[in-house]
Amino acid sequence: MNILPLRLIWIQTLVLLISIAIEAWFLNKTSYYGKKLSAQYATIVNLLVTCLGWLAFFYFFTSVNSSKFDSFKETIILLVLFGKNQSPSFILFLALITFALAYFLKWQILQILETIRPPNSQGIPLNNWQSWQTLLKPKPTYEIFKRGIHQQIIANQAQAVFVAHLCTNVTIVIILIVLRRS
Amino acid sequence: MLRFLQIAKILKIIQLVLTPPRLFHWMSFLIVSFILGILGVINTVFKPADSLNKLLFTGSLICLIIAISWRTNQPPFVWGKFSLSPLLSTIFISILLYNNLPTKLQNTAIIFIPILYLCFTLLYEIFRKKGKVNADNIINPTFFIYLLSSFLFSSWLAMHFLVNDWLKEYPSFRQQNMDNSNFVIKLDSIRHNSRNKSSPSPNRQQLPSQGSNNQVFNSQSFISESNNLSANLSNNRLGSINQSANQLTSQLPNNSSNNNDVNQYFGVTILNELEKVLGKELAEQEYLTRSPDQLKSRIMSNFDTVKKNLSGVKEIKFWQFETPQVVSSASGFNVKFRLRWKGPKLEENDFYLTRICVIRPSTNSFINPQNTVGAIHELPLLDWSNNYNNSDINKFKRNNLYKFTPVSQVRKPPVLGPGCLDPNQPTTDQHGKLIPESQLKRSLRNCEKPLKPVKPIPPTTHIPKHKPLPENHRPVNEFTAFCFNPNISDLSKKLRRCPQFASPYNRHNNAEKLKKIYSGWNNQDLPKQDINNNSRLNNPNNSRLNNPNNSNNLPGINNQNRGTFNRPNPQNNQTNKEPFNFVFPRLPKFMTDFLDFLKNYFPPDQPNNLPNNNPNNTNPNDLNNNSRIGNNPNNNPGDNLALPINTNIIKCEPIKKEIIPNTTE
Repeated sequence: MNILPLRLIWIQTLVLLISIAIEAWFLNKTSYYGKKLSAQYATIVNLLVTCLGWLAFFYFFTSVNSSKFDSFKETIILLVLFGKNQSPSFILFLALITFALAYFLKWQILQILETIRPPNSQGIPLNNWQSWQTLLKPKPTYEIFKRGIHQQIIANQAQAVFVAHLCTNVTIVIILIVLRRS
Repeated sequence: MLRFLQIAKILKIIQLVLTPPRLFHWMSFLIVSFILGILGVINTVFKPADSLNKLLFTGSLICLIIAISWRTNQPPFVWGKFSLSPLLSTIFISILLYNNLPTKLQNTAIIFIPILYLCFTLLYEIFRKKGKVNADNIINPTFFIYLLSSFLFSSWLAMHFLVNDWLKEYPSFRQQNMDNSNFVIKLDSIRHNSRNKSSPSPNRQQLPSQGSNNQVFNSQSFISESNNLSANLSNNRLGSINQSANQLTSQLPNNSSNNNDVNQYFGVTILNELEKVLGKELAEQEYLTRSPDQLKSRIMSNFDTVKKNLSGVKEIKFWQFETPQVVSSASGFNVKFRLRWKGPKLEENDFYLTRICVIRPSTNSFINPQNTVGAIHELPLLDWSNNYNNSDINKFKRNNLYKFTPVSQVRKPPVLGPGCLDPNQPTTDQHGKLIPESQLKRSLRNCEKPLKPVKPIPPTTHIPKHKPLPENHRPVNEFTAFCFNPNISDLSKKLRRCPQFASPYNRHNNAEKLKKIYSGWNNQDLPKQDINNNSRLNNPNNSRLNNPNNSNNLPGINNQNRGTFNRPNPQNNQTNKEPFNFVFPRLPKFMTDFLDFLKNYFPPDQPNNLPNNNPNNTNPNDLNNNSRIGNNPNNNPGDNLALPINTNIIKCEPIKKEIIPNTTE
């Protein structure tokens, strides 16, 4: 019990704070969201992606018992325990896959959040969350026509999220390298 | 009257204090919890093993938790929006779950603390608003953020347990340096660093080249080392080796994070297990039939067994067992085991874990006769038609036909001289009166130095001497029913199936059968016999074999044609020189009782290993224990009572670490 994942907690907190800040700024600038809502959305998106990542990680390590994955597991164990990169190509591949998956998830989660959020008739996004019950009500057809403006925004959202995600990751990598060097 | 009124007043006050203001109140739960607890205590007193007890106590605890969380949700324990209630409830529920869940799921009780806390906070909100809760008030972005944050906290806790699981699968990683990790932190290294902050810290990856356990690998040194070891062993200086081993282990640094410590490696466990498995096998087999090459192949096959035994630990594939170096010497074989680390390169140099062992025949001289008391048990009847000579007897001994059961650490009781009286036997004086036991014990004190040893008495007493055995008395089981059946005259079948008639020369074929057969013998059915003083054989009234009227004797037995071995000679008992000279003193009753208990508890057909010579070794399960020279690998004291004569023993030095210098430099 003398080995604690304290560095992990510290680094993940740092990463989350950085990514939430950057993505909230991007969301605020590239869409109609207010500052509070974009910060909330960014927090939810990042936390959800992190939790899904954790779920996948625990599933891989506790439920996948096939011996085919033993070498992968050992590589990850060595990376986690000793910071030893046994096969850099594998780790790079894993990082790229994670990057792509995280981007896709973030985009999808934002889209879901957008659909959950009831549209404003004036075309200005709401800064406060409306009840779920209004969502479940069948919408009149004229409201769907009015959402056409929003669809354009959502189409551009993929690009915006990608830029935000890229910026976040580049910043995190730079900060981690600086931390490691120091 | 006044007193009565006072008491009534006090009772009324108590009633007022204890009665909850309404039925659905925290005080009701407290009272229910108190009543359930008292019921549990009463039930435990009268029915300690009742399953209802646990239920009562758990119910009591749950009611107490509800009462406490309810009370702490009220004003003195609420500061603004923060309440003490969810925190306390979470802690109590986690403790309850941790104690009641099975061991495998206990971690989940800790992992789910943040999520439980969130659930209780929600409940607290609902209670605070007295049920008037709208979904909009609760399900909002802030709620999602709380939920996801608590899940993240749970993941961190789960990660902690996952890392500990990894370290169980790869035990050697535990003591390695983890300062380069971006994920985990080792508390030992923090303490170590803070302690040695003033002194310049050496390169952590660098191994110290000097040290008692680190030696540069040199194959030539093995021969000289092994010669020294065998010389020590041949001079019966095991004690000195033991001492040196203890010195070595005492010199080991106490700081476990130091790379100098060999015990950090899982290879130590592997080598200990190998020693255990090999010792077990060697103790069951005959010695001096193998060449070094055969021994090597046996060791390699034993390593496969070790691999199977330790297959639960994934790290075993990182250790490569190299072909051991075997050198035959006068006293036996000197073997050097080498285990090479083939896993990820965590240290600067590659290294071996080596251990030098000596395999040699175990003889009676190994057991110090001054300190041991022995008993022969399960002696089978022999085919008296053969003339046995000494070489045959030696073969019997090797074939485990006779077993010597030493009980180490038991002081030899004084042998009773001719003038001494045995307190265990009812003795009469000159006038025919019974001498009291206390007086007999006093007489025993005076016979510390007997003139000569008395006639040995067989260890078993369950055959009443005054009562002759019935004529057809045989130990009855399916085996003896066949072997002693006079109607079956097919000797070839009997030779095959019955150990009594088995020729010593085909023992290899019969070895497995004999093991099965002996395990079938029942101590109560088969009268135990002493090899050199067989009361049944020596007593003409009791002996079947000597009874001329008994025509249903063993086939081929001719009383006139018996061999020299163990020839019963009732007329000339004193002059009969026996091939074995075991002396069986009569033990005090508590000792014989204890021995009987041990024999019954640990059957004699268990694997034969060395007796445990070191009573100070109190940690038998510690596989990392290095100072085990002269010790049995399996330290369970009962398993090792039976020691066959002329089998093998293995004695090992402490494990050393040999660094392989880098060839690239």
